[in-house]
Amino acid sequence: LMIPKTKGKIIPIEPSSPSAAAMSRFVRRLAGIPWRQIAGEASSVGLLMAQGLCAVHVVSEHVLGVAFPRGPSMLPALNMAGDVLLTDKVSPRRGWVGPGDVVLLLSPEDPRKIVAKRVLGMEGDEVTYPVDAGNSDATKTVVVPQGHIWVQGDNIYSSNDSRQFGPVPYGLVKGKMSYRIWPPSRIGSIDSKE
Amino acid sequence: PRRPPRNRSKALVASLRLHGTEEDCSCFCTSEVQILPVCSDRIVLIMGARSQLWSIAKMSVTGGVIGVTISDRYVTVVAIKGHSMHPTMTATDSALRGDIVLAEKACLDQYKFSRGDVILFKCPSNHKEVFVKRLIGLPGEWIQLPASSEIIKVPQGHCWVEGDNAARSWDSRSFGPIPLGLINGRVTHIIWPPSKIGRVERKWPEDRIPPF
Repeated sequence: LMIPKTKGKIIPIEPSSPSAAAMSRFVRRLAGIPWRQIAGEASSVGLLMAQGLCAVHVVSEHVLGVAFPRGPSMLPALNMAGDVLLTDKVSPRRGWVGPGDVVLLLSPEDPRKIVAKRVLGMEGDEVTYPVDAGNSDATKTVVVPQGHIWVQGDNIYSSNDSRQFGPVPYGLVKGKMSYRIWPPSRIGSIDSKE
Repeated sequence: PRRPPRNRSKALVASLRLHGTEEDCSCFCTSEVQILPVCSDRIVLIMGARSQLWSIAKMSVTGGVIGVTISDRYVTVVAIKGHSMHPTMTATDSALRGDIVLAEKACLDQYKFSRGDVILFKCPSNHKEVFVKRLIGLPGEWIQLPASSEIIKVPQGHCWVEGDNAARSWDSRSFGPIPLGLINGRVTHIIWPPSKIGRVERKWPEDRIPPF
């Protein structure tokens, strides 16, 4: 409230109308709210939330994440949709990936897409693959170059993989998947024989 | 009653020194430190030091987690170790005197780069090494190889990279176009040595035909 001082005497301003009285009550209420305390608590809650989000990021990027693969290229090991898989982020960084593993990798055709495929060959391996599955039995054999891997979907009739885009650099691998945690009927290792 | 202060151990030591009698000792029980009726200042001091160490450990873990998140998603600091980008960025044999640069990670959201950007990427034949080179060809462009008069097309999802120091640079002229997914970040500033502090500009090499 602005209180003008007149020659040492403080004369409070009387509100001149009902709306001015309501206004001054409102302003008094505003001044009574403990803004500083609220700001302090809000900033400490905000800091805690930021720390929590950072922890979630570190764990899901560097330790263990979750993936929701979709598409027919890994049938019958993975469903077309609705599967939830645990992604191991430690193994690719340490090089603990080998033939037979199902991996998540950034697509070499579009880096914003993440695809799930099975590793068939590591660097130096010879891979024999069907060139035109479903139409002919012709196969081809390639040697995987250094630092690269050959990935193929389990469902060779409906999979866009190394048979189309060639061997991919190992640096594109982002995670290894071995366990399914949803749906409940198929919880467990991806490759378990039911 | 007043709320217990944040740093309980410090307050505990202070109040025990103030009272110093056994009856007052038995009043103070916190989740961290259980004071038995017979207590001495020394025991409380040791327990205070242990919780100091614990709070230092907590602060370093928190700082580490926040630092890793910032370095993964926003901006990171890299020391240059090769000579392929001389004179834009130089390296020396001692790690302390090579150039240190700032790289931003926001570009990895949409993978939209411009010709002439300096980028960090994983080596296609060894995923543990990180290279820094200049982006010469974007996906879908036709570029001319510098040595021969060959014209090649950069495939979708890939890019062509070359170092500024053509004589000492192992780049796309040897290992071909690289998938954009190998890119780790875009270099924006040099922050060491002080004489070179400043932005790293988008540059097109002279006497090089622009792609089409």
